[in-house]
Amino acid sequence: MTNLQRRTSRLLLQLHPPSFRDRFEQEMLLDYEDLVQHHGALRLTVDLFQSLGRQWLSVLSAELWSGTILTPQALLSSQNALSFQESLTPFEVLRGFALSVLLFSTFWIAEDPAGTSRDILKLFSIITTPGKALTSPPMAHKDVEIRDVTIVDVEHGNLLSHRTVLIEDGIVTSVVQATSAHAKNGSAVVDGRGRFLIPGLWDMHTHITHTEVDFPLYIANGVLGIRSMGGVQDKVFAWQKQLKDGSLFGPLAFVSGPILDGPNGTVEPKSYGVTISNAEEGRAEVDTLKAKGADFVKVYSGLSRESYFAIADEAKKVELPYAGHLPDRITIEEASNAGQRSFEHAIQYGGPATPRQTEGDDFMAEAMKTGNYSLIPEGIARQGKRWLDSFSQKWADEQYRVLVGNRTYLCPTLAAQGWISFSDEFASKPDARRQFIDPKTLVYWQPSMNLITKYRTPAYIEWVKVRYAKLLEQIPRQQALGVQLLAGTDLTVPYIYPGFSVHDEVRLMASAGLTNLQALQTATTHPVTFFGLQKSLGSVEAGKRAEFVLLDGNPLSNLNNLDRIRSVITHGRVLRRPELDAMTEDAANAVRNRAKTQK
Amino acid sequence: MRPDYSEYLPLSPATMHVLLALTNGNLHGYGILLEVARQSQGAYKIGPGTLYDNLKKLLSEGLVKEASSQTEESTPRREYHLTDLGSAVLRAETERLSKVIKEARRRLRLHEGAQA
Repeated sequence: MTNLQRRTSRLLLQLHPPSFRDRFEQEMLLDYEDLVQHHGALRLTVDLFQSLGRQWLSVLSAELWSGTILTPQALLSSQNALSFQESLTPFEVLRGFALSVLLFSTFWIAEDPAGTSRDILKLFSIITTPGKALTSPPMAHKDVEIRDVTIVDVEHGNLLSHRTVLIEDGIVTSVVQATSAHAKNGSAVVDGRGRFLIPGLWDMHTHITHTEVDFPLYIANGVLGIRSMGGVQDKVFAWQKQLKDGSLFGPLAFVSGPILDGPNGTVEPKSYGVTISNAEEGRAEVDTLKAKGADFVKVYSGLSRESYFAIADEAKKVELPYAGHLPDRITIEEASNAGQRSFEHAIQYGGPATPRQTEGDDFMAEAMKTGNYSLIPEGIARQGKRWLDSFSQKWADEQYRVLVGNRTYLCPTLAAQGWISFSDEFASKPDARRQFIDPKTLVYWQPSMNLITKYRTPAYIEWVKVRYAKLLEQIPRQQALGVQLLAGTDLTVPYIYPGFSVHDEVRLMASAGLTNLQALQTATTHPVTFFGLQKSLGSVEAGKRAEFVLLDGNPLSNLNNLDRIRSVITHGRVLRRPELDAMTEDAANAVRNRAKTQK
Repeated sequence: MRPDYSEYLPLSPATMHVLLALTNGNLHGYGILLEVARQSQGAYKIGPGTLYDNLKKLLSEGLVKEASSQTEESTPRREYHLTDLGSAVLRAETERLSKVIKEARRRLRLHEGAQA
């Protein structure tokens, strides 16, 4: 909640009759803070205004005209609209109204005329500036009891039915085989009958651009952890700090800050990148990021060999993990052996891994020199075909074994790759989730407007589909050899939606040939072990943090059940369906309001 | 003889929901707000202004009591408890509404029949 909202609600409460204030003010303030995120400031402000009117009216009626207006025993008067006794004449109503206005204004002026008018002005600015500050941390439920639920053991695929989970201060205190337990009085009770409890999901490859849209949607979709793979670093570190101190409500986040790329790099937008020209700059930047509080370093395609290995070495020294693209000039084996924690996107295994690793075909330079950018997709397709012709499964398998040996994870971002491969098909398919993306961004979802697809040629369009099929084909192979796969969406890529797309990514893993359990692990247990958090997260067990999602159906039998979220338990708090719907609605409103101000 | 609760009736929707929220056990104010939203699947939400206005009246009428604190620590959040009287009033209102609904059903069916 913003300071302004807090001050306005305080002010409105201060205007209530003293007898009412003494009794309820503190509770109301607490409730107001909890609710503002879900109900919106406007609705609550109107509610407080109504309450103000009612309380003064009841004081007036009791003290001055005892009983004429709103006799105290009429419980019917306690609704949003005032209801009057039969005996009330229009004259009396008018008299009551006039008096309340009089008293109201007297009280205001006596209290603090200058300050009040200022606050009232601000109040109206809140009302007319919607979509602001839906980001306050809601108050935690101290104790939670999830009754008679089926726990999905995502490590082994077991279903543990009729369990009751007790949670205290966000930590699971016990899991018992019972339909209820002796929870403390006042516990929030969650009915788990016929429902399935899984650990919170993760998006292991995301770029956060609008916290007021992205975070509520992540939470509402049961995505309670994210790995931010680059952004405008000052902004990223700022929201990371707010998430940590609790002033911003969102998922648990691990952030890289910026993206480290070589000179003439291809990081888009440019504001996400930091250019590293040599080893010294690489080392210095790693030290700087460590000091700024980065959780890891993100490396990118254009780093020189010298810079890359310097970054790898320095990162090891200061104990900062590094992850990201496989740089064009580094082989899969080299990067894994140097300690890169994960590779992102589609990598070409079992052959030259990147276009630059093919000798004598520098289509990039040629395209830049001539300005004929279609040479790039043509070149990619030509080089890709060469890779596919020489593809060796034996070589690929050896590479997978290297990854397993070094515990290098793969984050193939299948949904995002799917868009690159089927951009024209995606563009022609309507999707209600586009309401969560602002119109200005949607323009660049059209294949003719997006840089990646704009210069596409028939050969390229054919090639990306072949490549996508190959990428999917390798997924079960990687899994079988023990490679740890991660679900990542690459949010900000067209046709990727905050939170929602994690469910899509998990389903794509399954459609590539993983079992539902294995697919689910890419968004639950693997992210947790990636960050070494297995002691505190990743399962429903006593001693672990209660970061859970309650589903209406069994995800192991059908991954579409990931969309059927009944409740989310996070940060020691239960968010039920109405609250999740409200968060989703708030996010859509924030997008609409942003679109309005852009016009 | 059945006691007469008609002086308390009808209840406003907000009052009805607050009483209903407390039937499952004691709740603090925020718990009531969440429970009201849950009971109506989010269709009916009340804010703190409406809630505490209701609680004030319900407390003074003795339909709701402040629950004695279960925890040692002092907290500004108080828990509220549905009294026997409150529970009886809620029952009486439910009976009254049932009759209304029964009548409404009957009429609507007649109406539908007339249309067919």
